[in-house]
Amino acid sequence: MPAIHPDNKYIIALLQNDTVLLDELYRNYSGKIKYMVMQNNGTEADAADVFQEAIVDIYRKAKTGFTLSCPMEAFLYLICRNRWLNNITRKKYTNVTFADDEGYSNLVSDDSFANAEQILISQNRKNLIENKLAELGESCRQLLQYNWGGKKLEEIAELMKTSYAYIRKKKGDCIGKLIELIKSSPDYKLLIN
Amino acid sequence: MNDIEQIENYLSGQLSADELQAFDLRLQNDKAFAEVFAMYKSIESEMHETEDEKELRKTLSGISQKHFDTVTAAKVITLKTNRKRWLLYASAAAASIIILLFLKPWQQKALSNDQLYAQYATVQDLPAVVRGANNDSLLLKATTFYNEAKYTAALVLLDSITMQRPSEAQLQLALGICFLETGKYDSAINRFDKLAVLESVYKYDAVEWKGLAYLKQNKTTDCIAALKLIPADAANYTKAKELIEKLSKK
Repeated sequence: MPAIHPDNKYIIALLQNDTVLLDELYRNYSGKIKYMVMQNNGTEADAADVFQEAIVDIYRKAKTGFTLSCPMEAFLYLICRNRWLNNITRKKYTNVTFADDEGYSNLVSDDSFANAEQILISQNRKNLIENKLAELGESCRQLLQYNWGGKKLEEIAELMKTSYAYIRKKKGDCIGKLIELIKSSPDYKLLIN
Repeated sequence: MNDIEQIENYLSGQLSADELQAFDLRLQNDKAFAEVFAMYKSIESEMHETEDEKELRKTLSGISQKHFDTVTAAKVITLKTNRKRWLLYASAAAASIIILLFLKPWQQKALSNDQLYAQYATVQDLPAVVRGANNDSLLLKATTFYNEAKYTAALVLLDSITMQRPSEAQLQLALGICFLETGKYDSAINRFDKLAVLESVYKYDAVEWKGLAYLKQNKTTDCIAALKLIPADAANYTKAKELIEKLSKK
């Protein structure tokens, strides 16, 4: 087991929804991320988005049992950089510098790198699914988004003023279509391994 | 039963023993089917947003507002207001020097409630938030009025904006302050009370403002009682404690 870094307190804060420590997390690290994103074609709103989603990524990982063995700053920077890099490659921006990330990378421990990599894979999966979801029809998209957002099929049936049996069948059809679309992408293996 | 239905029944434990065996066998032998199964599971696990994740996102957006100024389209406007802001700072500095000379704090004279209010009621600027929603231009106007301390004008706009965005604590707080600054104390306290029972980063700001609302009405005891509700781990605890001490001395 790698040694637990004192910054693991932030991971625990995430799991406990501890607003005081999370506020401290923002206060300590949001500046660096803001700088990184804005140096690389982003706005402050982009930075806020990247920062928040990176924290949710880390939270998801934390739920599966993960302890931080390196400074939070370096780990968070790595996750945010990956996220932003992903974003700008999709938008085909050039003129990207990521000036000071070498220094941070050296601080990230091996197992944290592995964790960051898994988070990156998960981000890429999500991107692929979302891209293909956009190609689905409106009704499928809405149904799936309701369902993934936590609504039960019974509730969706009521919302869409139709029967449970119909919604259940429709959901299966929609997922089937989505899988077909994903299969047509060269990256579809991302979802298998 | 098509493939997806089979997978869903399998995952929800609705297959009979025979069907289950057939399913497992097919997973081993039918590579295309095994791939669809793996993709189905990946999609569900990536896309499902759990309740606790939603809760966390809510917490984070509240905190985020304090640390990120999500200016986008407002760039031009902030550039314009920067000069004004400089003037504002300069005049605020000048004003505080005058107040300081006038109050002569070195003479240790107890301050009146009005003076304490002026000293402690520091209104934070609203960030020039401009997102993609429809009432953004309205919000932009409200923000400008508010940051220029034109509370009557800001009040009208914020009232209608907060109706459409009831969950934005920062705007609710600003609305309460508008009520307070325009002398509508009951409405102000009502707003602060509502905010004080919600979990947001503005929770104890609201409690503090409730105290200040009493202070402005010269209700010293009520003010102290309200401020005492701010717990020691809140960001504004020290400030509140200081004010309580000053009020208790009188």
